Amino acid sequence: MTPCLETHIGSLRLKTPFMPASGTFGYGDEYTGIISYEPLGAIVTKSLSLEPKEGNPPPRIHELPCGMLNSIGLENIGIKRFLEERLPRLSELGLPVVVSIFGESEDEFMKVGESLKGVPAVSALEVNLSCPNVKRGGAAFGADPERVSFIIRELRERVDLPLWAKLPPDPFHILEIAEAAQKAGAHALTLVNTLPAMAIDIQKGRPVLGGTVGGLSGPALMPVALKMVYEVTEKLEIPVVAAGGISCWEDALAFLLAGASALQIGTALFSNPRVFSEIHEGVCRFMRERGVRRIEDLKGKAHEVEDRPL
Amino acid sequence: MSIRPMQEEDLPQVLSIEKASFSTPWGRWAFLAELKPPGYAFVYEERERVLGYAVLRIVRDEGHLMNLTVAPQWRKRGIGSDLLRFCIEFCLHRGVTSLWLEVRESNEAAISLYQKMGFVTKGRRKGYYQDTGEDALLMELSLRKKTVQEAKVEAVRSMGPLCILELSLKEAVYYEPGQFVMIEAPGRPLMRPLSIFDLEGKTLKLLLRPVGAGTRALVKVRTGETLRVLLPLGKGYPMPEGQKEAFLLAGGMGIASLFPLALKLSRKGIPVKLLWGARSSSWFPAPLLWQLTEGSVGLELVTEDGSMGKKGVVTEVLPKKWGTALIVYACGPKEMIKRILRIIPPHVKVYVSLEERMACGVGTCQACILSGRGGNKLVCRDGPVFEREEIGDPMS
Repeated sequence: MTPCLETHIGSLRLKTPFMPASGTFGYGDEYTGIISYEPLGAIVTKSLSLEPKEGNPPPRIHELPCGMLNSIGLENIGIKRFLEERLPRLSELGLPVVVSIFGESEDEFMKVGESLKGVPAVSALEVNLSCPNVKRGGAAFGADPERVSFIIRELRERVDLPLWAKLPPDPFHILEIAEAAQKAGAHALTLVNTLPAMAIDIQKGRPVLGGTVGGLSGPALMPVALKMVYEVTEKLEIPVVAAGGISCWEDALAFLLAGASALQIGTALFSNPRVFSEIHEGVCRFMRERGVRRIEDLKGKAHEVEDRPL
Repeated sequence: MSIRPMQEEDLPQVLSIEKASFSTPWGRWAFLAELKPPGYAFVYEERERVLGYAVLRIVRDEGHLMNLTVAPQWRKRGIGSDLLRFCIEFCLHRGVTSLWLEVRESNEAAISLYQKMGFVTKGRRKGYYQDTGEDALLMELSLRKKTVQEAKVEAVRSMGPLCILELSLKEAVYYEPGQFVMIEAPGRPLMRPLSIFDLEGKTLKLLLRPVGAGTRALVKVRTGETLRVLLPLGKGYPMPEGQKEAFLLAGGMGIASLFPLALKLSRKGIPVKLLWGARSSSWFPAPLLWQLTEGSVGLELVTEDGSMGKKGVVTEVLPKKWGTALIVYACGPKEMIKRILRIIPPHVKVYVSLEERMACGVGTCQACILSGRGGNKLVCRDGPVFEREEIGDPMS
């Protein structure tokens, strides 16, 4: 029995629930020839802004015992060059392309979104409302339910593509923010972005990262993200794409059982470029052993346990 | 000795070796046809005598080794491996991703050489050889650029403050000095970028200094353990274009990438001077010094404490005059590179290898940024070797 890994994010059908997390997979084709793209259900690009962005000064990353900090600062080539130079190559991979978009202002979000309108090679937009490494836009938008609601609603009116709202890991307000995105018309939520964090070089007596603060990712974030996915899928009827420290097939299953419809893997790719294949194999093995035919049958199972005081 | 393109004038010598080696030798016309693309023929020559030759055909990204022969009386001296290594390098430079060959099933010596160089048996051609009706084995060497592999730890050799990690790869990989690997550091969330110190077929050697959490974890690995590696990455040092002499400047661990470059240049017949600076004499393991000297590399050492060679740092003992016949390669701490770029006059061609923190090694994480002329560059993808013109001076 070959288990069926097909999953649905609204009307978008994916052959597997596995995809890279925005910002860890470049524009999408950098790993061709190095790893198999077979286990992937979609490609997610790094975040694109209207104009090219230079990003933050180095050092841009810092390793921690249980993850890493990054402060790239959304360096990217801009939406125009992406459409001209990178998207044609991406479409040849035969996978749905999810384009991550970013704006420093509401207006920039609209303009980037509009430039992707009617582009057949694009399957969905992930709206990055939560980058912790930029002064304007970023997490400041994502933490404010009204602005989330405004950006999603306006994009809905202008762009006919499915919208995934990528939200910050704010454990106290996640429900409120998620609900705002849902009501404004988001087709899915990506939970969660990196957690704002920093490191200090005690020898030099100053912050390690060139951008002072960065985003925490990797295993340290996993249980935090898991709780938010569980909480949001408990309350809201909206597909959730989980992201946050997923490093192995056990993590992947935990997020599926918590209610995620799809999974994004990022930091783990840096320590193990073959992580997608390994997760794919592990999840299939688990399903075969348990006689689970469709991965969608696992979705949200952890919510069905009774007699559990919350 | 030299390996150079085969000329029509070489054919009498080539044909006599061919006749002495095979029962159904190639004729004159067969060689003539391979002297122009898609054919590429080379002779191994010593004192104006042809001792062996190789014939390649290259179509797009596929190469085919048509003939590799060494004169009977000159066999078992490494001439065949030299010719083969030359052909592999030639293919790499032409963007060949797989190199094929047929070999007589009974020719054990040849098969073992091909296997050592990384060729894998991919099939069999029934009755390929007309004289005996013997089968040919079809072998392939994959030169596909980057691979992720599980590498087995063969040895961890400690040499004073330095350490050589020797690994065996599953699949042979070819590289250019200056290229690097990303290697798993046990128990750490990120792989580590390390220069390729030596790589021949499936044997990879890395030179490292256990100072950080990652390198400390790496030197503690045991023989037989496996480590994930991604390789070969980045761009290596370009070969001289007309310059007559190479001057290599290594600051401390900068030797890791300049060591194989020094030996490669020297093998190509280019006079090499290597200036290597370090904290103290314990940084210069005798086996490495010996290998360099043996490889005809002119070695000059400099130590901060004066315990060996001149006292000082690399940038304090640089020559005053710089001719255009010189090509400079430098690798070392950022401060040293900055100073070198200020000291060496602009008419001298200088290549430097830079270091920066990185997570992916292939251009996706965008951490290893270098703000240079003409916008941001990535050390992992656009480097780590840069020509001085590509980077701003002084570097930020």
